[in-house]
Amino acid sequence: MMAPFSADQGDGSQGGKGRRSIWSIGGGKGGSGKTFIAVNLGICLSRFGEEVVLIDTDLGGANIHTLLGLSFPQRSLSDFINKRVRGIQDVVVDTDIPNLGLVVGAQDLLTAANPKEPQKRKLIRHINALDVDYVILDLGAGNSFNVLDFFLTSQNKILVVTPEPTCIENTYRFIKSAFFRKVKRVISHFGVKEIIETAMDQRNERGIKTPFDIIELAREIDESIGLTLERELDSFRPKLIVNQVRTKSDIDIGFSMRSAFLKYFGISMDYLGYIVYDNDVWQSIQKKKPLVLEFPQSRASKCINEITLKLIIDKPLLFDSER
Amino acid sequence: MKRATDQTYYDLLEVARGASTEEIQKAYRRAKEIFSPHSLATYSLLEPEELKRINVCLDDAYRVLTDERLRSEYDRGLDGLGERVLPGESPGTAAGEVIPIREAATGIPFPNDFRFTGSSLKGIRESLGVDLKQITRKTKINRQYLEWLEEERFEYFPALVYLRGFVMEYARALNLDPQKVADSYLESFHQWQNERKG
Repeated sequence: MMAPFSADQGDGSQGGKGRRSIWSIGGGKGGSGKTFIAVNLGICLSRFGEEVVLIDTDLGGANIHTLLGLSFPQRSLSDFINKRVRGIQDVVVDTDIPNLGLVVGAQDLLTAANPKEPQKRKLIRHINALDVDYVILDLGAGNSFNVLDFFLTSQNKILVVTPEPTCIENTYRFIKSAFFRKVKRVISHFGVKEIIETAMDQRNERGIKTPFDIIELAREIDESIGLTLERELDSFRPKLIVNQVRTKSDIDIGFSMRSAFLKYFGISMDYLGYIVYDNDVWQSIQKKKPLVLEFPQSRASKCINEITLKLIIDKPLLFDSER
Repeated sequence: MKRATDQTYYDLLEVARGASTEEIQKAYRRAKEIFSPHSLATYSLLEPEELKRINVCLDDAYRVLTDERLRSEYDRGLDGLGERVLPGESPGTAAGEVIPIREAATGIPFPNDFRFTGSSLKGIRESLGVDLKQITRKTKINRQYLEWLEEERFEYFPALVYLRGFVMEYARALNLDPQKVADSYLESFHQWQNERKG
């Protein structure tokens, strides 16, 4: 049943047309559950009567449609990137779920999967102009500039991590790359830009590793640039979801990563919550039916609802002693 | 924001300036776990030397903050430096979100059996001179959802967790006890749910 829309949605701080909120679901590693989470968060929002568009930005590896049980639609991001349509709204296709639209990623690897800089900028501009309440970007794996730029354009920058060393390691690398990419765009000073470039190489000879190192070096060049960088660091604020948790200590990894982010990178991160490892998730994926619809009472569905709530009211999960 | 090695002992342990010894002990144990060589959260992040440096700082922080004399000396040092005391919580609350509720109104004693329903909440809100727009600003909750909440349009909430969460935020925005309000409000919801099941 569709919920009624009031004509005036203007003062909702999230949602409300013309004030769309873009949420991106990223994190360095493939297989951590980004697409699964993007789909289910989108459905949770759509059930409030919000208009939601899911965009599969995994250029080259698009598969959201599969999770929704749809065959590959007639139109995709390729048509937009190759200028076969005028706007991104022309490639939004309906799903079987009320209020939920979908843009599938490009599948032709050679051109659309590697859009040139101006094409990508145009795509981001169009995403920002979409006339809906929420846009959810499902990001691809890795930390290529394509992935990072979509991540940086969103209001809610959500990282998905599973409690495995490799995945955690990739997440740190991802967030570092994203931050460096972000500041590189706001800084025009040649010398500082060079420092950031250097830092982007993981094993650079100057030993620049963290935002702190960059800020320190930038300060030596120009105090005001140092301040700008600090402000960027403060406003970055990514959010974290730990997926596939099996134990209490898996849950705590979110809090530990929050501490590590803050202490080592100086980046404040909100821990949104966790999703339990649940056989129903596997089943729903096998059935190509979204979890929150197929198994609304499952433990994992409840976790996803909790996370959606935290995102709507913009409050993170708190450690026991913080409550 | 400062490097771990330059942070105050309080920031380092992520505790407030007034934290009790017990809180400090807990925070220390937690931090040591996070920054142990076997920690999943940090092993890929820090080189052994960096890890060592942070651990030295943590140990220093613990040693000083759990010793009354050393702590007060340290505190005086901080005050002297004009170190700003970090608020322990709610970094998300930006300026301009405060609802000007009359001081006197915030401590209204409600009888224990008072039923917080959609309409009684609306009544309380109006008597405080607060409009929905202000609640939206403070809670980030879409005005439409707040209207549904006051009208008890339970059918529009996809799951109980949202209704409960929104009611608690709404109560908090009016300085009411969130837990109490939510428990009472949800009685109507459960009633409605039972009736629907028939």
